[in-house]
Amino acid sequence: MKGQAFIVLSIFLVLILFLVKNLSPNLNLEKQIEELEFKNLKEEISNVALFSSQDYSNIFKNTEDFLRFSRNSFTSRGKNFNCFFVGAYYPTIKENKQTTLNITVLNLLGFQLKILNLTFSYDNSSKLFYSVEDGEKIQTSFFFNISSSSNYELEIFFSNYENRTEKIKIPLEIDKSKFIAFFSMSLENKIRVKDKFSQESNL
Amino acid sequence: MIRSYEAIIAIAIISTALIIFFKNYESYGSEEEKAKIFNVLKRMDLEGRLRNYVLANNSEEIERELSHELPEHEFLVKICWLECEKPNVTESFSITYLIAGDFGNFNPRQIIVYVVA
Repeated sequence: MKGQAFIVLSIFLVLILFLVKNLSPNLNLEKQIEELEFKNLKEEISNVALFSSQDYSNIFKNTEDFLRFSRNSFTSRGKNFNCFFVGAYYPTIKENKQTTLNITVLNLLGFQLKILNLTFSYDNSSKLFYSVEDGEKIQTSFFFNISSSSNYELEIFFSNYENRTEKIKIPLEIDKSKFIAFFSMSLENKIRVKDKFSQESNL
Repeated sequence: MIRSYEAIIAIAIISTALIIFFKNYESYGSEEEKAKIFNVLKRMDLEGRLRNYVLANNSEEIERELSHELPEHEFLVKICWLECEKPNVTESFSITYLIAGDFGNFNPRQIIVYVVA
């Protein structure tokens, strides 16, 4: 019985060490680094529209390129960066004239989307896609014809392990051209940081 | 004799735990240093110098500013796009800062700061 006490005591000691380790500031510092890198990434993603101001036709491509570039960089460092990007662009809207709302969806979530459904609240029209692979990009468009500025929504529903719905505000403004982007992203190493945000740029 | 075996097992358990504990403890310093370096880069970025250096491929100037701010370390900075060649030095650790370019110039780059051991 006394011999077994050594083992019980050692396990008890290991438990204390484990608690000390997890309460140490090390974990907070690791979290701090992850958060700094994540913040850097978010700021640069927001900068892409600004940096594409010479040629707005590249705004979708540049955003996609930067997200793929970032994922490649994090992967090479053993970190897991996943992102779901939805971009909406419309050229200058003229009163009572049909205008196109161009949509790009980029799945960098690390898994296949079995169903992806986009619904534009202007006329509740929908676009349905199946089996959107990780890394795959979907491009589609909706049409609208308005006489005054108004806010609408783009509802994105996708399903894989679970059903998820995201709603993006689409402000349609007469005499304006806009790029609206939505990002849901996470960075994972020892710690996981995640966020989702929208961005609106007047072009 | 049986007690000796149990004592050996107990010592082995504690030793393993201590090795794991101290192995992680070693990285404590580098995590703190990483945050310091990251913040120096951030400040250079906010003050408008970092992007100029990067887009001019001037890694020496970044190394110089880092050494000035954190003289206790020796730095080697690599500016690259997708594939970054690893330098031929023994590094303690490295940190990576991403930029998407500059106004009107979309040009993604990785800034990798190696702290030489």
